[in-house]
Amino acid sequence: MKKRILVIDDEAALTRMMKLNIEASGNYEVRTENSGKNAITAAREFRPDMIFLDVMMPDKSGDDVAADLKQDPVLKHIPFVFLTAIVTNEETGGHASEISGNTFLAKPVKKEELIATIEKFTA
Amino acid sequence: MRNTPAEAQSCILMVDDNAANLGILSATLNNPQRRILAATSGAEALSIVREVLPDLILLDIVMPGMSGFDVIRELKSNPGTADVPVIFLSALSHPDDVVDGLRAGALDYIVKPFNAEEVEARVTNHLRLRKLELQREKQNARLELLNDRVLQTMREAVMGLDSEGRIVFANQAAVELLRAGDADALIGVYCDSLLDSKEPIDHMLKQTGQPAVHHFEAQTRGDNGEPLPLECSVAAVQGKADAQGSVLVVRDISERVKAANALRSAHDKVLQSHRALQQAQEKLIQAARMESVGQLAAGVAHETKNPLAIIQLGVEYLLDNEPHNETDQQVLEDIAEAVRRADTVVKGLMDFARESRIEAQAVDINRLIETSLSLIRHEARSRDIKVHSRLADKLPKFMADKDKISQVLVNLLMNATQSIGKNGEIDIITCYEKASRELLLDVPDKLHLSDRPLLQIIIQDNGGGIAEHDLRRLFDPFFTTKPVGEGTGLGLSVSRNIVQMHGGWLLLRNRSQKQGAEAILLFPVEENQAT
Repeated sequence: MKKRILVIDDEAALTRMMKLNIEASGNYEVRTENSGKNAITAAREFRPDMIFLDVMMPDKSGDDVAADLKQDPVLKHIPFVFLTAIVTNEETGGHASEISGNTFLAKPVKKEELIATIEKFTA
Repeated sequence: MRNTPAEAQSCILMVDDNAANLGILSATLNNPQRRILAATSGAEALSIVREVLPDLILLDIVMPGMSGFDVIRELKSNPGTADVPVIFLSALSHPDDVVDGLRAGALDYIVKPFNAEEVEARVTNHLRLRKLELQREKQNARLELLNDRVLQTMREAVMGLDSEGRIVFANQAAVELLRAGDADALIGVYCDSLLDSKEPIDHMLKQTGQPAVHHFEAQTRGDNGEPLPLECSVAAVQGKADAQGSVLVVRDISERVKAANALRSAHDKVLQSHRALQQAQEKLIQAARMESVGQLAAGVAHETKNPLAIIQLGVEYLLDNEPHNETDQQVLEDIAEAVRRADTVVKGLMDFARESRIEAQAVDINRLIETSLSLIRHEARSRDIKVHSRLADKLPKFMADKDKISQVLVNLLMNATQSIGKNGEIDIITCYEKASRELLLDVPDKLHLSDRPLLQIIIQDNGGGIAEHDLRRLFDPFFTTKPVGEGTGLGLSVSRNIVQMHGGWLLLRNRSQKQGAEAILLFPVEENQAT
């Protein structure tokens, strides 16, 4: 069975590109969501194996979404990784890195980093 | 008038070996204001003089035994009697005799036989002169005494100098000022050898013909050899050519100079603190500007990196989606390279906005706190917030990045003022001791901060405290309780990062006994750096 990946980002073009790239490998099924407010509902419906979460979204920030995820009895065990434009690749060392207990991926993210991160978190 | 007291009486001593002469003379001179004594020999005359000092002596020259010349010689040789006026009364009438008599020291010479009225007139004149002479002497003595009193009570040093510039007299103040044992030690000393003035004193006096007083500054050596600044006035004493000299008045102005210096250094300090204030203000403006640059950079990065991410992933998808011709491949690779370059530019902008290196140096943490407090003082004052500091002295030397720690302190202090809002108190405390067990529960073990004294900085406010559900998220990046646009949500996470870069830990919690929150900074300090 294919692993399910939920991508939450207000940029529809970005979520589209992520879906195309991740699904191209043939191992994953991707659902995209462009509203922070709908993120929890989408996660409940889709039951992903992991979540990519944009930090800066106009209706609800990724930070708030993450706080809700951690509170949710059903979703709290699902690993999530922040996608952020604020942290540079230099700081993350070119791969997902931990800051204050959270994992970050710096935009623009390369396909191989994306896949490596997914493999790590869904293993 | 008959009972005129003895002091008012003039005393005349007649000396003649002829008793008849004495009788005539006595009758001639007799007068209630006169006491008349008589002696019939030179020896008797001298013995009377030893008892009573007469105001006038009428002295015969030719006498058996001691002659009048012998007597006058004897009188002149004794300082006590040398000034007593003597009139010779003699039958020797040759002009040579008269000259001899006057040369011997007599004031007058009357030839016998004498005219009674002439004798009376001469005696009266001489007695008056004698009286004036005595008055003058008395007055001089009084003036001298007065002069001496005035000089000795003056605080200014006063010295008399002769024409060569040697000291001829000095008052007590001069003795003390010039560190001489007594006045005698100064007499005869060249004044220039004791006072350093730009110009020798006698030059100043010769310079102008005016009898003006010259004022000048000079120096002498104080008790410990340090230079003592002096203010001097010198004036020539006009007199005969051989008696020229000057009077020099010297004041010690070290207190005045000290006061002037103190005033100047106080003035300098005011200027310094003004300058420091200006610098602090500029720093604050710079910090505000840097913050907006940081926000701008974050905004630009966000707005740029999202489209870059889309292009990046789009290109990679197409590159993996074979087959395509060589030209397509080249176009896609060029786009990928352009994305990489654009990303580098954005990264440079972000690096500019936040410097992430640590530059450690020995920091006086208390002083750094004072500096940081001065940056928020205005804000605190405008909110009616009182800031108290209880800073431990003798804190160990702390190797740290001054600017970054200051950034943390300002950040925490600003949070405290915002948490209070209006009207409250902030306490800032430093100490060097082990952290409590309960405090260490919230510190990661890997930092190894237990079982050793730590440099602790505690910032307490009496504001609203931290809501229970916010406590866990305080240090999450982007978490903020401030209205949209007012906080980046990065302050605390950046602060904890800075503290961690120093091997320490930053805690935030609600105060246990009182209302409000406290921030606690714990820093390890190398033991051998403790002072």
